[in-house]
Amino acid sequence: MTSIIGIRPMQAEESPLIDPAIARRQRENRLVLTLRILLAVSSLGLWEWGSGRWFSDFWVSSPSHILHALWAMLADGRLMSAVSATVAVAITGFLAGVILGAALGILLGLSPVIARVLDPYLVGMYSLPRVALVPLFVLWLGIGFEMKVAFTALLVFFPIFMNTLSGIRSVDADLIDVIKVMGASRWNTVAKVFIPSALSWVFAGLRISAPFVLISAES
Amino acid sequence: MMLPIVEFQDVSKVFFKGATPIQALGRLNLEVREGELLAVVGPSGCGKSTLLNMTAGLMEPGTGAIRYKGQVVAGANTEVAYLTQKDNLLPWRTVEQNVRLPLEMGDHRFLPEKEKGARVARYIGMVGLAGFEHHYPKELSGGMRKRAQLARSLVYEPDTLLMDEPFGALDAQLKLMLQAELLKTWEGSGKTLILVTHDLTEAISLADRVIVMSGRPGKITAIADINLPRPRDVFQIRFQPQFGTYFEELWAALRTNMAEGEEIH
Repeated sequence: MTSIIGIRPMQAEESPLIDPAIARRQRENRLVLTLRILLAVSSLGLWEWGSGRWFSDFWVSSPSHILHALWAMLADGRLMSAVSATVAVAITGFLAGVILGAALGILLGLSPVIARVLDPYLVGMYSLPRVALVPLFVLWLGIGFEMKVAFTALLVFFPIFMNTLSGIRSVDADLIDVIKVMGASRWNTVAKVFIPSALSWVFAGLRISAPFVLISAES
Repeated sequence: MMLPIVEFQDVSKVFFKGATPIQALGRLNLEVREGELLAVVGPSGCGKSTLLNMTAGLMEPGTGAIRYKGQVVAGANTEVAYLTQKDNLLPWRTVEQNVRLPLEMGDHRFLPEKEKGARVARYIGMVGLAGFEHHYPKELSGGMRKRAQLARSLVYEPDTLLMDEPFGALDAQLKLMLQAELLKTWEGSGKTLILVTHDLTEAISLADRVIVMSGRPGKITAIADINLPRPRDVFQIRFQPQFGTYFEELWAALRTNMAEGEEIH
């Protein structure tokens, strides 16, 4: 096609030019990695060398002692039994917290009246330092498995609950309108939009609450 | 035979801003003809979207009545499809699963599975998304998402499409391409299409009739029949001399309304 006003196609350049910034960035990445490793090795080395010289190895152990102890506990099975107890508490508490948090989040997200009724109490409970509840939990449940599970569940509950609630509330009102004229029932909107939308937020909540799990399960 | 498919009779609507009532729609009388493409233009806040919401049965009129095929609209009108400015695709579903969504609900869920599959494939093909069935919305471009949205609206074969600034957020070239595709899909389909837009060029290029609405309270201040031949080419049509005449006259009507609307604020 010929153009009246003289627009003409340009030919693409064959080989792209190589920006030196790429090489600079690669060098920087290598430097960062090297320095990171050096930092770890030198601080461990300093610790090892200083232990028993600059400070008493009774109060501050040394990396080699820790490795020995780790090895010994691994060999006689003490470490594995402790780890498995912690993991059992973590998993049970985590699941309980996630299920309760997600369920209550969905329920409150779908019924604004209940949400308004419970809102001040939930905020009150949320601002309570969790550690303050530990003595109560000990009184009710002892210091065994149940108490640790309950405490872990409590820590996991709030981030999951808050996120699920936000997930339900973030659903676009337009989307619900669009789906209603497709013939959606209330149940359809819940099952096909609200719950799946909340679930993606639950997963975000999982990432926030996962670190809490180990902290409390070790308690 | 030109039966009105949608009728607005003495419709008005008040919204509340806190305790203050705001007259969103004045007295509105309108007949939408079956099979026409009606464009609604007007300043923001003139009640264009309210008009669509009422046709869809998502909002009740304050006074008056809206009839769809002679029946007073009460509750969601499932014979229409609603297309919003945002594509509103479900991010956890693929294109195919998104397009299938309407067939999982209402009376459509009783369709035989074979028919469902055939329809999904047909409408995905019609909007040019064949080969992208298993992509998720975030893997698609803005234009492709709009196409998926259109396929999802067509798949349950509604009689009427309600579009609320469907191409409002897109860049100019993409807008033109999607307008052309929309026309190709609509022309000959027999469907009624009500298009709310703030783009006068879009309104004239696509519509059989353009209605101009005033700012609050929203009223119809001008109606124009666009007698440009079909099928239309949205790329060429704006260079026709008649197009310029329509544009000038409708722009004049629209501009008066905008000035009025600003005085109210």
